This record gives sequence, C-alpha cells and structure tokens, in this order.
Amino acid sequence: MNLLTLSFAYLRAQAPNAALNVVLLAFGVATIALLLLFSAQLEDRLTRDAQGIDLVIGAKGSPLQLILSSVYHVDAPTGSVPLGEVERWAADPRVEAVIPIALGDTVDGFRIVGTTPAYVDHYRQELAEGRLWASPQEAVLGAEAARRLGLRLDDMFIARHGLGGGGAGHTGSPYRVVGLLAPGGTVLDRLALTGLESVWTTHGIEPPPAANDPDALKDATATAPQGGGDGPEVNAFLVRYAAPGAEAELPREVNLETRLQAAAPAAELDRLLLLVGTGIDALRVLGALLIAAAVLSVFVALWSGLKERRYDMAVMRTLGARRRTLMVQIVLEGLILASLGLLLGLAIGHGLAEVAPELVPALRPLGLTGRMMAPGEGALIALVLAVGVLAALLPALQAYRTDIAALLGSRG
Amino acid sequence: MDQDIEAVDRPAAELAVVGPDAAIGAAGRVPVLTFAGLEHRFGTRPILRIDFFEVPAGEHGVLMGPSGTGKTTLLHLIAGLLRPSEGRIAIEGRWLDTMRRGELDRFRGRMVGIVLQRLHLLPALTVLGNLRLARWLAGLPADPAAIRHLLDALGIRHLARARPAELSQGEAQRVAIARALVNRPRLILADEPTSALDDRNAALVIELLMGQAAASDATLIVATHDARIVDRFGHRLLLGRRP
Repeated sequence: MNLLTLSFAYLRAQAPNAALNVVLLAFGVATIALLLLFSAQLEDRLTRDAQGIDLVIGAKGSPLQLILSSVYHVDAPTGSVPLGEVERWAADPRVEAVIPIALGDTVDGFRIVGTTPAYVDHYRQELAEGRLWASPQEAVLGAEAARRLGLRLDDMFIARHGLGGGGAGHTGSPYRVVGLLAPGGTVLDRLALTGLESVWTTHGIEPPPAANDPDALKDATATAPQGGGDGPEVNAFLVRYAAPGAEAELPREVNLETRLQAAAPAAELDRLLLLVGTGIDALRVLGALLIAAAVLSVFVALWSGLKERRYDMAVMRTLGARRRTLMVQIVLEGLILASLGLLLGLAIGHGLAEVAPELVPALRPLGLTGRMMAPGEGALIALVLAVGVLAALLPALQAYRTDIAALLGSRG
Repeated sequence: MDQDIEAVDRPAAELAVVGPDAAIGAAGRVPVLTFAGLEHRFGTRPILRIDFFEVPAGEHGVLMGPSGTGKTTLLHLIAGLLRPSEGRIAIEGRWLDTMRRGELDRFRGRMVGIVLQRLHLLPALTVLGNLRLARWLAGLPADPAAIRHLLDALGIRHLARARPAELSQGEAQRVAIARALVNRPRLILADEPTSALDDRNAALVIELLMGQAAASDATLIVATHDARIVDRFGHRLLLGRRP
C-alpha cells in the first residue's frame, strides 16, 4: 500500500470516467505531437534537400515553382533552359559548380531526372550496389524508389511520359538499373537518376558530344552549340557559388539580362515554411483546445469525485493520514491521468506519423517518421503534466481543508 | 476535585517524561485517558463541559447520554480530530495539545483505533486494502501475518478480497473493527456500535469489541445511548444537555 496504489485504486473505481479523460487528453496530445513531428521533419527535410544549393536558374515563372520542381521534385517545371545557358553560367568565375536537371518522365510516380554525377556527389549519397550511369538508358535508383518499385540491379523499366504518371510509355527505350543508392534521407531517395542524354534521346533530341561529362560542362562553352530551338535543353540547373558576394550580383544579372530567372532556395524555403506554418498554427490551436477541454474534464472529475470521497478522506484522517497526504493523493491522481493521456497521445501521434505516408501518398515525399522526438515535445510533456497538476490543485486544496469532525457527525 | 487540579497543573517537564513508550511500560500507573477542565463550544454554543474524568489502563469506559449531548464530539476530541475550546485531554499521559498537527495525526494513527458509527470503509479498496491502508497511513510496516491473524480472529479471512459494497452490515462492522485494531492501538473508540442492532447482535458486537480490546491489551471507549450495554463498563461518563 502506498499513495500510488491508492490513487490507482480510486481511478480504477471510476474507470469509465478516468478512461474518458485519458482518451480526451490523448487526442489533444496526439494532434499536437503529430503537428510537431510534421513541422519539424518538414522543415528538416526541406532544409536538407536545399543544403548547399545557392541558386536555381530556370525558365521564367514562379520562383517557388522553380524551386519545388527542381530541388524538391514535387511541382511541374517552369519551362526549359537551352544547354548553352547552362554552360555559359557554369563558365562564370563566380560559379563553383552547376548541376543540370532535366525532367519529363516518371516510372510509377517516381521522377526520372537527367543530370550529372555531380548531383549524387552534392548530397554525398553512396551507392549501395552497382555503379553510376555511364551510357544512355542506364539508371541509378534512390533507395525508396527502388524499394517501392521492387526493382533490383540489372532490372529493366519503362519510363512514362509526363510527371503526372498517366502518360504514354516510352516502350522503345527502356532503362536498365545499373546502380542503387543507399538511403540518405534526401530527395534522391525517391528519384531515378540517369544521364542527360537519356532524357534527350527518349524525347528524340540529339545530345551534344560529351554532355554527360561533368568536367566538360565547365569548359564546354566553346564546343557546345548555343541554345535555342530544338537543341538540347534542361529544365533548370542548380548553382553553387564559388565565393561569397555572388549572391548580390548573380541573381540580379540572371533576372535582368537573360530570359531566365534565378531563385534562391533559402528565400523560397522561408516563404514556403511561412505558408505551411500558418496552417500548422491553426491546427495547433485545435490541439490546444482539445487539451484544454481534457484538463477541464479532469478538473470536473476530481472535483465532483471529491464530493463522493469526502467521507473517505475524513476516514483516512482518522486512520492517521496527514492533510498533506490527502492533498498529494488528489494531485497524484491528476498527474496519473495526465501521464496516461500523455503516453497514449504520444503513442497515437507517433504511430500516425509512422503510418501516415502509407495512408496518404501525398505525404510520401516528406519521408515522415514517428521514430523520433520532435523539438517541442519535451515542452508539450512538461505542459501537460503541469496542467494535470493544476487541474488537481483546487480539489486537492479542498481536500486539505475538509472539516473531518463535522463530516463525521460532530454537531456544530 | 483534587485529582482534577493535579491533572491540569502537572508540570510540563514531568509530562514530557511520560511519553507513549513510557506509558505502555507503566500501564498500571498512567491512566489511558484523562479529561481535565474540558469544555467545548461550537461558536458560542456550549456543547460539553467535563471537569475531570479518567479511565485507568486495562479498564473500559462508556460515554453515555441521549442524542445531541456531544458524545460523537467528545470522541472526536479524544481522537484529536477536534481541538477543545478549553481544557486538556491526555492519552496514556500525553497531552494532545502539546503535539504539532502532523505529530497528532501520526499519534492518532498509532494510538487510537476508531470504529465510526457509519463504518465508512473505503469503497475503492478491498477489505485487505482497507486494513493495509490503515497501517500505511500510520507509518507502520505492512505486517501481513498480523493482518491475517486479525482477519482470522474476527472470522472474516474469507472476505479479504471482497469490496465493501459486497459485504453485509455485520460483515462490514467486523471489517471496521478489524481496521480499528490493525495498528494495535492503546485506545479503541467506538461510536454507537450497537444502536442499529437487535439484542443478540448488540451483545455479540460488544463481546467482540471487548474481546479484541483485551486481546491487544487496549482500552475500549464506547459512546452510546444504548442502555443495553452500559452495564458492561466500569467507568461511565454521563453527558447531559446542560453539563
């Protein structure tokens, strides 16, 4: 016998009521935990995918769309960029490296990205098996894409035209899997990578010589044909600055002097998170309301329970209980309810985060997982425990003040 | 009257020596219960006035009087649940007013066992749980063997896992008695233990209480208006409407 078993005995004695309070609290906690996990992982994911990319240059249009399509691979590209432009900017001394991105096809919803091996190097992704692409129609799959497609080394697959997934199959030019990337927690996990010329040949465009050689890109300005018309094109290219200071001139130069646009992922990311953040804040208010309702319910349960238990409290005093003991018992019951609600809520929240990508395909690109603690969850735990104590405090004070002699029949 | 003054005016130093431990050792000398110049009022309304009364160790006492004469209040005063307006109460030579609040709670838990008129078993706990709680609240070790022995002695061992709601009135009363005895108190207080019972059961309950008190060498104090049982007590205190 101790305070804990005593408190549990009383909670068991009113199990339906206690269960209701726990579930109510759990819903609030689950909502907020899910939101915390979602926003933390979204931000983390988006930041990681944009890491080290100073600028994205592509066709004019929405800068956010340009970033979404070429960095995060979730939107349609804004248009196309002649290869000559890529080479021109690659040759600029303020530019350290460029990574071309050519889109257009998918395999079962996963994008096929024509690029250079520099793209893989940029994210420091390792090959789990095989090698990088060397000739046309060779592809390297990201870990998640390979898993979901069920493709292994040397398997063949047929690309579908268009990013929506409903396009016609390019049956004439199937791809062969030559390499599989190890999971890296970046956008590459969900891509199929290939050389630029694969994308071009699939779409009937004659590739320029040596376009797939990453070194060639930097000093190919003289040899490659200047862009325009039906020449080789990409959809965008990612730029890393050679020296600080470039961010002041380069984007302006691109935007004013060419038919292209330059967008900085960092700036667009901030805008994006601001937009997402507003929605998350609204949901957070909802979660807070749920918790508030639960706390009120815990308070009402303890308060009305106290009326029925006045005699029990008085009897405990006759058995030698101190006032403090009764008070602690009530607070402990509030704390137990809060803890159970917390545990259940965190389990539900993290469980939902873990299965959400399976249930909602649109969430898959986020790579949401419940197997981590989001920053802010510690504060959530502390907050819920604190309000659990708070809800119990008034009933506990009432228990402390109970006039036992009057309750037990001394006539006043 | 001499006795009265002596009790009230006993120097504090001497009283301090007669702690609960000392009192048990000198059970023959120190009275188990002493009232001295006791008065209690609710607001300005006087309830009780007892100049002097004491119950020697090893004997039992009864507080008699019709309803509304303050019997229950007096029991609460003895248990230290109420502080008297005037005068003092000592249990085994320890004056209750010399104890701090927490100390008094602990003292009550260990020295006094109370059988309330309406029993008031805790419904959330089993019979066993009720007894364990009493030991724990008094800060005593669990002692399951003693609890089993007590349940046997009262013939309610088979009810150990039952909840109070499942008990008959008679069974509940036995459990309440067991709970009052489980800490081996020096003083057992019972509030109207027989008033709701027929003659046969009233006699049984008094036998039970006296037998258990004797078994644990404790003093039984019963508050009652039940004329059937008062003869059983050597020390009687009659409470009236106008003390």
